[in-house]
Amino acid sequence: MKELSLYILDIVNNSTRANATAVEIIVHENEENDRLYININDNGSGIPATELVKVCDPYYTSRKTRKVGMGIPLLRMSAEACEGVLSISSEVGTGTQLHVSYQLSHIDRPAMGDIAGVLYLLTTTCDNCEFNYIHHTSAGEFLYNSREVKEMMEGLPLQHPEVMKEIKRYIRDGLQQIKARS
Amino acid sequence: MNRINSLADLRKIKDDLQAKIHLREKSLEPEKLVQIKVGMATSGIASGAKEVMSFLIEELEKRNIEAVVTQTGDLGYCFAEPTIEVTLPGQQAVVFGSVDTRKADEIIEKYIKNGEMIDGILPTNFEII
Repeated sequence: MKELSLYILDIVNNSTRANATAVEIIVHENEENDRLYININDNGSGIPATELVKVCDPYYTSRKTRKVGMGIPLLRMSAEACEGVLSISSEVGTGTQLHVSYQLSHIDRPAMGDIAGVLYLLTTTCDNCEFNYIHHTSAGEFLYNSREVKEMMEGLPLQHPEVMKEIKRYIRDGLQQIKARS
Repeated sequence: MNRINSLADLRKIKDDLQAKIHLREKSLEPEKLVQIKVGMATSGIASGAKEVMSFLIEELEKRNIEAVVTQTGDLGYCFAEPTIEVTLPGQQAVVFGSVDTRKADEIIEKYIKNGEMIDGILPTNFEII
């Protein structure tokens, strides 16, 4: 995938498929030690230990509709190409934590991409799941909480183009204020 | 630390939006609306499903078509992503493959508006009972 935001969308979709009701996405740009950390934690059904060892295998999937599962293997490959690592821990009934890191300045590191578009999509399409997005940089941190935004926009159709434009603009402004990398 | 969580900005905009948006009464029975599901699994995302979904949301509203756009997993047509499933009221679902924004435009104009069949329909292997 071309952008890290798309990987985030993909991984969060795993969480919602595991019936998570709360997902936390933390992006941390650490310039001092030149690392980019992305953590995605959910309270979904969790992955049993016997399956957990297989999630990085592209020929493993919990789906019945096809035989391959590329989401996590692709993200791991992309991280490992940039001096990074991916790790997952999970407990059945409690949730799953995915942790991935990159060398921030690595020439092959994919761009963050359209975070605003991804957060907007997640806000409008996940009915039973709320998520919290936190983005840290040396200039500050930006918080986005889907429940707050939905409550805020109460009575307005989230799928209206004007509402979409404003929510995306709000996220882009926030990220710009903390000088988040593109 | 500089914390940015300026919902107040959004709140200000909300009043403007409320004035601007002419609220249409959405029909309460979803089976009377056009339903679109965009395949958003890894293969869909990697081939541009996010852009297609934003495009559909924006254009359907602009063109005054009452529709529900949601995301779904994939249907096993990874070779033809992005795929979208369109269900017109009272009709069988139809799955279109390799949908970019141009194709999506064609689907809205020809299939959704006029019920005209167009290229790119995938033979689905399931029956809806």
